Amino acid sequence: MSESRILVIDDNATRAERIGTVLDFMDLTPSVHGCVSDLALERRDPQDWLAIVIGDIADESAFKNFLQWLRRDPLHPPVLALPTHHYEGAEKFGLNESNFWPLDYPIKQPQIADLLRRSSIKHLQDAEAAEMPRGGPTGASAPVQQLRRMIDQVANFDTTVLITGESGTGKEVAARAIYERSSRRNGPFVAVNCGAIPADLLESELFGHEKGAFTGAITSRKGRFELAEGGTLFLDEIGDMSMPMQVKLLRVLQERSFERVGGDQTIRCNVRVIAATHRNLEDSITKGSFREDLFYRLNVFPIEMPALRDRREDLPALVDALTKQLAKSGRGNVSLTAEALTTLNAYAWPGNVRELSNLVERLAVLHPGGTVRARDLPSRYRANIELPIEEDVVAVDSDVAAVPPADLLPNDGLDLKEHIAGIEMRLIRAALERANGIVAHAAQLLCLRRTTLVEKLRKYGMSRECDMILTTEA
Amino acid sequence: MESKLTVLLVDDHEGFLNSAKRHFRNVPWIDIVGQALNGLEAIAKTEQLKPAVVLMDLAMPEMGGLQATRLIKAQTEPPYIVIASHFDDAEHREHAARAGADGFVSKLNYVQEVMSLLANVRGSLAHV
Repeated sequence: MSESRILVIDDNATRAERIGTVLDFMDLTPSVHGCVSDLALERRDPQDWLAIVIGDIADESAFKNFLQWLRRDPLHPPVLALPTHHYEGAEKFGLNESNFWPLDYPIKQPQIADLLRRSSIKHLQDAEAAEMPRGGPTGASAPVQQLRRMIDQVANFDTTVLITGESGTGKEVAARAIYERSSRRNGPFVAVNCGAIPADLLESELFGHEKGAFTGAITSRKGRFELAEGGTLFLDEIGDMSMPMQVKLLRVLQERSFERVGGDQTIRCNVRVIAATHRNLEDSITKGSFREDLFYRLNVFPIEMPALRDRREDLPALVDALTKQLAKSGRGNVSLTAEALTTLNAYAWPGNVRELSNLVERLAVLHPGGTVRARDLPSRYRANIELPIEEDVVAVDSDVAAVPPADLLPNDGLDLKEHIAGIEMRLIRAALERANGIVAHAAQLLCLRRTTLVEKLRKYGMSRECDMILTTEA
Repeated sequence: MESKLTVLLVDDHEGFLNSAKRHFRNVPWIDIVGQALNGLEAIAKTEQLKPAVVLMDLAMPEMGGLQATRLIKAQTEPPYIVIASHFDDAEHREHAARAGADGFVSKLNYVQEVMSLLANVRGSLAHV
């Protein structure tokens, strides 16, 4: 119910009650207070509220504490300020203008409804942005290095980029990495998932609409192209776009201008478009569901995202990055045993990095502060149970698939010495990869002396592999 | 007799849960197998009760509906998840779809929208 939880602080009792009634009527259970000292802030989190309406202040010093409490959370809910504060409020309260929204009084229902709708969207966006990995793709495998090179190559040109690849391979991460490395990095980055928006709403989402353009258009609204002005627009799942919308998009890409729905004024735009899809657009063209001319407009600089099963060697580094990020954002601290990692390494990862990321987050939530063993993984990740996956793995890395989960004794027994050696080799290899082939760093990861590790490399005949990693890195 | 559609209700508002339960009690093919008051509880109960459908509130304390949806979808054979939101617009629907939700309903028109979705799920399960 936190979406329906609005905090109202106003010493003007009549006004506070009226605002409370409006919110009640909208089914958005408000919590109305004359003075902030009524609130037990120590037991509260700013995120408990969707928005905070501020009117007359009863107790200045208590209010100061309240503001301090609010500012401690950089993603705090927006403050809806009543007219007394419109002109100097943000500065006086020490709040960022972008989180300080003027609210008129007497209350106008469409205005407050729109502000609260936007508060809810902001809440969802903040949560999503906090999850999005920064700095581009993780890992040191050859496919990822190639990917990084392409991102660096294209970032500073304003060309349209088409990112393809299976679902969950991190197309948005790549798009953001391009944006962050481009000269547009100080402009906005706006993402739209064309597949998730009903076809009849997509046009007004992208291009905006004028008041009265259709039933329900009670105010005029900017579309995502306008919101992305001077920045980058990421059009995800472009392959799901309807043919009529494709025509409209093609026109914007060609002419750099568009009209809002129900509007006749042509709006010029300066937006870099990065499009992405999990579909094979060439197939879609053959089937007649994607326009060839649009494809060539988009396909100026194609980037294909590697599937996780083609870059398994990045798995330990990815798990490491994901657990660190979760811990940093206070969403749980978890670590995986070597056996758990080996088990995950043998899984096919149809959902790619997103699947891995969701799994690691789930583990962090279910095992807070704990260590996850192979047997704690959901059954589908325990490799040997799923035979087709095993076959798949054999083709990629016979070494990994041949070994049963490290802590299970097969029915017909095993050669313990060989089994342990296998585990040791895999961990050494993982450490070397994570340390970019630098033996001294890999030794640290394994709590070994450098000389001990060198000896083990020689014993297992892995010295050459180590050289190879060094040369690919260079 | 055909089996009932098992449903887990997730909402932090007891009043909402109670009125939803009162309604579903009169529907012979729906079996409310449990309820959860936030996303964290929803994950645990989904694993324990294995419902066919989870009706999930969007915004709740502790853990919201979108995060819970993503994490429930990481389990083996996840249920069909419907997000219920006070705000119904393209952005909210987009966020729900990105989290992996299978359906979206407006809380302002909850019963009507949920019933038609559940009827569809029941139909598709019957064909399997």
